[in-house]
Amino acid sequence: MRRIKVLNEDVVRHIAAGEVVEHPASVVKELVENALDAEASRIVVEVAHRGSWTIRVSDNGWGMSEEDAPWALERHATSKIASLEDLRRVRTLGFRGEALPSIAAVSTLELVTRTPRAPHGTRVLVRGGRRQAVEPVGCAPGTTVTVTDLFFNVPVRAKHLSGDKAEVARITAVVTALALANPQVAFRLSHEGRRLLETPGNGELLDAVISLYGRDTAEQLLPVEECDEPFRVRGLIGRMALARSDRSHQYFFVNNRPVRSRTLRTGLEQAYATSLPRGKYPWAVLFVECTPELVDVNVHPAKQRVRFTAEARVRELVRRAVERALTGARTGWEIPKSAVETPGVAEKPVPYLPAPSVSAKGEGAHIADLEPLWDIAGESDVLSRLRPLGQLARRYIVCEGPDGLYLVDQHAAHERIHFEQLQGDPAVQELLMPVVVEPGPEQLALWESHRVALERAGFRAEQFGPTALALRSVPSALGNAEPRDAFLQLLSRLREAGPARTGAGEWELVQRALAACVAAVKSSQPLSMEEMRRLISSLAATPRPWTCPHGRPTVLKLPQQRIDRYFHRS
Amino acid sequence: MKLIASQEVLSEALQTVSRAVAPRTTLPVLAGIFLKAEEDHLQLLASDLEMAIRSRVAADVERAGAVVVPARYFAELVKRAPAGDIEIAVNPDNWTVELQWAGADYVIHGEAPENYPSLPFGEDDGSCTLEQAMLKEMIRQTVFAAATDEARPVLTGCLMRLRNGHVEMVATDGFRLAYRRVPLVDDDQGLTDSGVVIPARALQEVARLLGDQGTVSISARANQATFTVADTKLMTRLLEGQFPAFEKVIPGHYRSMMRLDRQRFHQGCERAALLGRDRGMGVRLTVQGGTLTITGVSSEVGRVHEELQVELEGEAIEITFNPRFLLDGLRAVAGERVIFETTGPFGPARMRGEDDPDFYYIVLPLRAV
Repeated sequence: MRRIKVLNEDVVRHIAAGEVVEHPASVVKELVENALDAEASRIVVEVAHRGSWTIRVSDNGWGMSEEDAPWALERHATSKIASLEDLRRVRTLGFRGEALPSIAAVSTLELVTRTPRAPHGTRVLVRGGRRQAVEPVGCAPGTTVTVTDLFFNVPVRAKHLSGDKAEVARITAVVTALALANPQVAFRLSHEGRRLLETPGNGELLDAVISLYGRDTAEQLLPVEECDEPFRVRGLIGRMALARSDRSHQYFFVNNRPVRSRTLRTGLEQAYATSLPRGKYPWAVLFVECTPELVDVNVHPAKQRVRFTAEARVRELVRRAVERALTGARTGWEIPKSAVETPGVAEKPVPYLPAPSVSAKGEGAHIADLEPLWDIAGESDVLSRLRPLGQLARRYIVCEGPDGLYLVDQHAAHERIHFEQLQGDPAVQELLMPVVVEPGPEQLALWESHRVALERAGFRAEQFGPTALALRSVPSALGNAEPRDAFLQLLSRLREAGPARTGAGEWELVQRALAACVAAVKSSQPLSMEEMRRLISSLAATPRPWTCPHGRPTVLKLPQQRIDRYFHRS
Repeated sequence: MKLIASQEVLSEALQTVSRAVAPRTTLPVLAGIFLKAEEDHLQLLASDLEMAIRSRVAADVERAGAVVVPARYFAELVKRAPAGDIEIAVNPDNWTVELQWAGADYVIHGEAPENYPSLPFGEDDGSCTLEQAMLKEMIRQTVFAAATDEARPVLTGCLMRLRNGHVEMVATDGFRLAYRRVPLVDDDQGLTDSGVVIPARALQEVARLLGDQGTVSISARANQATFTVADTKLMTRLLEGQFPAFEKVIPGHYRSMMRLDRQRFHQGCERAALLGRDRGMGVRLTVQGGTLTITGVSSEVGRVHEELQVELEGEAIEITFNPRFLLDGLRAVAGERVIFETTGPFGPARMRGEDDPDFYYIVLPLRAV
């Protein structure tokens, strides 16, 4: 019997948006998801970039019959749903029947597939959406999709691809998430023959984490498991020591589908709220399971966002689950129950204060009263005439100055100062003992691609086993901040900065990221008056004091006459 | 519970235990001090669950019992009371605590003693004994080198262990390392050869308890250590994790060695550091023949050049340091003259007192521009 059918119009219209193949990573994602839906136990992803991208994903799943194979490349042809009713109960990863045809439309796609029972396999070749060949072929059971000449007929998109390095990092991130979601599947990802990651596929999430992040990381993990029928949450969370300066190590899965979800993220971070400093984010791999009817996966064409029918309940479940894992972890002294469960304290509902709603217009009107000081000719001595009055929210220095009140952004000012100091080659502090860092596969790839520039900036590291680096020196500007944290923070800033560059552009990128890093270490600290004065005078000494290296303003001014007007004195 | 105690004695004990009161806590009862009257004394206890301090004072106990009092009000009130006897009476029905002295009668709301965590002080464990003054100096000479960043928890403490009839204490933050050992007075298995890692904060509190006379006994067990000084015990949770194998990074051989006046060296480095304070500028040490030249350049502020007389053995030296790390070491070294040894411009350097075989400080240089 034919398993693949064309969706009827009714269903098609209910599907949010057309599939978009944005970059190689989205191709990898779609192909791997298809392999997972085919219940493969081993998935091999090989990518290479020589002029154009070649992506091959092989699995040992069901495969397709001779009859089905050509249909797999038709739009909205899928084996996974047939009616609108099915759409509400989606459990498979792919379901819209868009992935393969969309990819085939912008590349040369070769599909080689065989079901275990069939005597031989089938090869389908499509170029630019046009079928070139369908023929029998000898092959192992399973499916291998090879995509070459990606975007050959969409030169604009090919041009928009970020550099090689950034794409590989993106692909690594995609495969990492899918490997974590599917510990029962052995994954292997290689780039131009070099192994980037590999998981054992023995069904143990912890073993998958060990193979991706290393044993030291795994030792800092706590299991999470909690249930509020029909929702269930389980997974692993990191102790405080694993907290990172960005959210790239938070993985959420809903019914095994990697998702981004504000609800889940908020639940997780609320549980850590009091124990992590500002700007630190917990490490987590969390799975939420529920019946498919209770979650809408069709919000976003790439199926990354989900919506729950009971958002608040799911958030609360996650928070409670994580909190329990965290409190259980504290090998504390014996605390009598009566002390913890003081009646009226534990049960008291958290007061809810709605955030003041500010319309975009209203906000704009207020901001207009504060003037950023850009490069104003003849006003370069303004900074040296500022007199600090105090600190606001540990983030801004409030000053009295010529003709008004001034706010100096501590972080932006630090960033500018350190950026100027780092011009040329920064001083490097040698480490007494190498610091072992396990950055995770994506950032490991990033380190490798920026290795020389990072070394020049002071971070000298060597590969230390398959998942770790040994850090031997740090930029002296970091003071005695923790080397591992600073290094990971720098990597995540580089990641945010986007496409990798080379030559002078790369060096400037690293310098900017490093300045931001140093500033982050030193900002949001309470400052004494003396420190505030010194910060402002150091800022005044820089050639471009009015912006941070990323172009944000460092100083805002509220003119005296405006203040007078507010008090009805004009 | 009802008793009479002396204001002076009680106030001092309250100040001592108050150091362990949790300033901000999720467990409200920890903002209090646990009081327990029995036989002829009053026991006082405070803890933030990381550390606990317990003390006792002689008291005329009329009725035994226990209560938890709010630390801030109780300690401040007793401190401001006139010298002489204070009568303390607790009403176990509502846990109000009444304080009385001549002409005064105060009532403070307390809490039921059952709410206070039970803290195992390890009363019967073996202990080893040190001179108080020695331990105090040992803490002063090492604790500053512990990491302040919480990211590697084990480095925020000092390793304390037994070696050849001495107690050794080591701290490092990965940039520098301080080592000190002192002879044991008596050993009854309070510490082991593999040692324990004690949080720096607890050691700073221990140092406050220590005087110039007498001994202190130390007992480290499982996940906690207890320091006993007369009637006061400080218990701290130990830091988990493996302290780095520090001996491996201590050079066995040095290419150069200089001896010089500690105070002059310290003052010179301090002045040089002043100019680079905002810039993380390094201080360069150049030694040739009998002269050490300290230099530093800050493009905005100016330039430093200072010369000192030294005795040099081995190769000439040219090496740059973060001045703060250099100054920390020079503050810790005891004695008039300091020995400074280097292994090359980018390798570890060692600092120690000329007549002091029991202390050393290892510091890593800057790879300067």
